[in-house]
Amino acid sequence: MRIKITLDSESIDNAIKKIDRYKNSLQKKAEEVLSQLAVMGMEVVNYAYGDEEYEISCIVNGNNAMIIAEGSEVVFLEFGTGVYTEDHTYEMETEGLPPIFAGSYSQTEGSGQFRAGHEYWYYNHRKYVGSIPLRGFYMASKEIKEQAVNVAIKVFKK
Amino acid sequence: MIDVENLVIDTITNAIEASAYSNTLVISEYTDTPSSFPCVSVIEADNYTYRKTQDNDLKEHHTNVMYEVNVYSNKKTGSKSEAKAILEIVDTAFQNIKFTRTFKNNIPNKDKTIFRYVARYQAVIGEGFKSGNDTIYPVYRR
Repeated sequence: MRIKITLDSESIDNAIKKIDRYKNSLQKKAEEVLSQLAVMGMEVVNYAYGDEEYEISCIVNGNNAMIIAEGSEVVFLEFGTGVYTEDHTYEMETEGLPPIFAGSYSQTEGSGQFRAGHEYWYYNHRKYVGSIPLRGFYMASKEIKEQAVNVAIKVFKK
Repeated sequence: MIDVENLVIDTITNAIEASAYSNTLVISEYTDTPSSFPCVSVIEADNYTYRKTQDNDLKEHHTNVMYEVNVYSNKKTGSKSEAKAILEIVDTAFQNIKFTRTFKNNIPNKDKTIFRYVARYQAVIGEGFKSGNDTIYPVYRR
């Protein structure tokens, strides 16, 4: 921003008004930068998580922005489902289930040991799908860091 | 490509082997059923060029790396304290090689009989240079 000024009171008053307007626009521009980066981050999470079940939103409040993914499996989408044990677990034992159920992928309910394809598995008559970490939020944070300066330059140049 | 995966995993494995938890299984690839517990997976989850120091030929001089660590314990009692103790060993080993921990939390495991911690470590690694028979890689906290 450039302000031309001459040495008279009217010109100085105008310059002060321009500076005030610019000052007031800074907060709005900062929020616009945050909004653009948050939307960018949301898109990255959406891309990483694909067709899984979750809801994503973002909130911009002053100098803070949040990307929020909601759903019962979101933690598993980000960090994976972890590992299973093929032992006869304590939980299975107390529920009277036979050994080698948890951690065993199966095509049909009840045939616990079948692992071909690793598509899904049954435990306690519930179908589970194992997943590797999709790391959507990690990828989003990386993208936001990479793009932050470019977005800020574009918004503040307007 | 600047590749320090083996060095990092060896460092973590050596730290665990020298500890009271030397029976811990250390793996560097994704698995759904570890052969024994406690188990630690140390996975290089990301390795991408640090663009600010690329030269005119787009040659890489530094790289960003992210390691994701999962610590699993299936003890019927004391699984949390076992997992935490092992994570502390891993964490100290990463700090000793100047990595920054960017995340650590207790994440549920699909098989709830297994306790699980997840941590992420990041660093910027420079090009290796020879020092005798060794190759030294500078590590920068960014």
